[in-house]
Amino acid sequence: MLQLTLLKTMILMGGLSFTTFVTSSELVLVVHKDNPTSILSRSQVIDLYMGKYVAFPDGSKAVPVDIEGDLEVRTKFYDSLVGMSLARVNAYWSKVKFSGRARPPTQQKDEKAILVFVKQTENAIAYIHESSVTEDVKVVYRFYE
Amino acid sequence: MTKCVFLLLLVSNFVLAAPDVRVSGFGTIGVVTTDSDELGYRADFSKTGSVFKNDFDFAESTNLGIQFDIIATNEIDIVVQAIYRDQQELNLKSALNLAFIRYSPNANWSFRFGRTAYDLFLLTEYRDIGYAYTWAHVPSEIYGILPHRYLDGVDLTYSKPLGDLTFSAKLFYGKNEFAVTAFSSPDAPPFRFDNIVGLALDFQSINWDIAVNHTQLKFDSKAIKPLIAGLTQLNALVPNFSVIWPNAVDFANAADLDNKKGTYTSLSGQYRFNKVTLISELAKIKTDTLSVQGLKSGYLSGIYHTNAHNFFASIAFSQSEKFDLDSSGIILPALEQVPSGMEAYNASKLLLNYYSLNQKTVSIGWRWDFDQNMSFKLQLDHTRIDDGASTFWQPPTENEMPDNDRTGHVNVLFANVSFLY
Repeated sequence: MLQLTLLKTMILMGGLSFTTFVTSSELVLVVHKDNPTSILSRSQVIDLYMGKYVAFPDGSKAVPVDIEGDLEVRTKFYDSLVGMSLARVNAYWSKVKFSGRARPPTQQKDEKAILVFVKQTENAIAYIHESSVTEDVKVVYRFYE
Repeated sequence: MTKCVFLLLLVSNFVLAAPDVRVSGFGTIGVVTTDSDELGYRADFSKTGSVFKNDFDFAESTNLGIQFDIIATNEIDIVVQAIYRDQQELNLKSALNLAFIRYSPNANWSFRFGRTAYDLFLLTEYRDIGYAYTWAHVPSEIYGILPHRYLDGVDLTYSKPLGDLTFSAKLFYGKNEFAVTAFSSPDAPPFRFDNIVGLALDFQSINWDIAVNHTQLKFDSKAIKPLIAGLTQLNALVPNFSVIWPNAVDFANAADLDNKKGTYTSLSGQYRFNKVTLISELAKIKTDTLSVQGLKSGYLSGIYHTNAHNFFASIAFSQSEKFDLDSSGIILPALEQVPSGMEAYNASKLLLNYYSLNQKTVSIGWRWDFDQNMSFKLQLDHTRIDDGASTFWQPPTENEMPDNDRTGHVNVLFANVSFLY
């Protein structure tokens, strides 16, 4: 009986730590695996996601992707990138978009949809949890490095 | 411009294989009140209305916009935007704020044709997008005097990263017009700008932005011609008129608007600290006509950000150049005896003071982002109207003649909710 309880506890703890690992995993920027870009600087990522220069270092146009359905992840991404709340980021984009200067990033529902989009779109760039990275995509920026 | 919209729709039909149309918009619902019986607040020189003591006015700061982004290919897109902003005449021409086709062959170059936002000063492109800025309204000292919103023409933009900086340069050419009015007149005739050539340079880094805008244009207006004709006739027909009103014809020609040059220059910058943003702009208007006199203006604003709340304080100034008609040697008692003499004198005074803006404003305010797409703003302005007066502020009576001594203090309270959808 004691062994069974211990086993349940271990399974529960294991499950909890896995969940914790997945949700607290750091965000990374990924591109299509065949994209020639190997690394981006923070200012290059800011240029891409704030509509200042929406291209990879080789000059080819990029398609930045935002997560639509997970506000927590979006908030975390922009806070890490530019230190702004989502409201301030939206305010910034409202002036860029409604003045006709540029279009904001395209949106995908969740990480699964993002990975499918990046796999199908050679010039896409997106942020996902590092734990979600697959063989179809390539990490080009990490926040904690 | 209506033809331009049809042309854009026609082009979109040819270009689009599978149309990707995105619809979005913005708006502000705002109320304004003041403590003055004499100085009526208005948002800018296109507004015929005014807000006095005990008024709670929604028209000056309420608007609603809708935008269609039609993405044709990776290189071509079309943007059409319409705004309701309590226009004096609401029709397709006045509601259409953007209607252009853009061709971007690569990330460095972008070419637009049609109706684009007028990139005259730092905030002119998005002055009606309340959600885009922290304040409850753009500073009147720079933007009140410039009601023109859009440019019908072309522009070419070049963007390039330079290390950690991003540089962009935009060259634009075109024409525009917008309603302009003063003295509580119910009429707001269009004021046309022609041959507009402008250059906008932007340098942006992670923490700071610097922008330089310079535009040259020709005023396209025959409004002063009757005065020139009248003074020329008086000068020719009335004996000793050159003694009664020395250099009257020279003055009239100097006041002429048609084909006269105006230059608009602005230097602006902002710096983002961790919790604080500082933003400032200095602007200068220089012209070849006495009817639109030169102007120096600017503002400095500090914004403190804490979670969903933003607190700000600003100071702004505006100083018009002056041409004192009464110091030009006119013998008024003699002029009163000349038929139509005083009419010409009063018309001249009206023209010379049409664009006066001499004032200083101190503002404090709060912006609360209670949703990621909605914000509430509260702002209190204290404005001192200086010597030389300001026709930005409407007199209580219709078509009241300008008074250079009309100085004073006024407090204006703004409350609004701005949103995106």
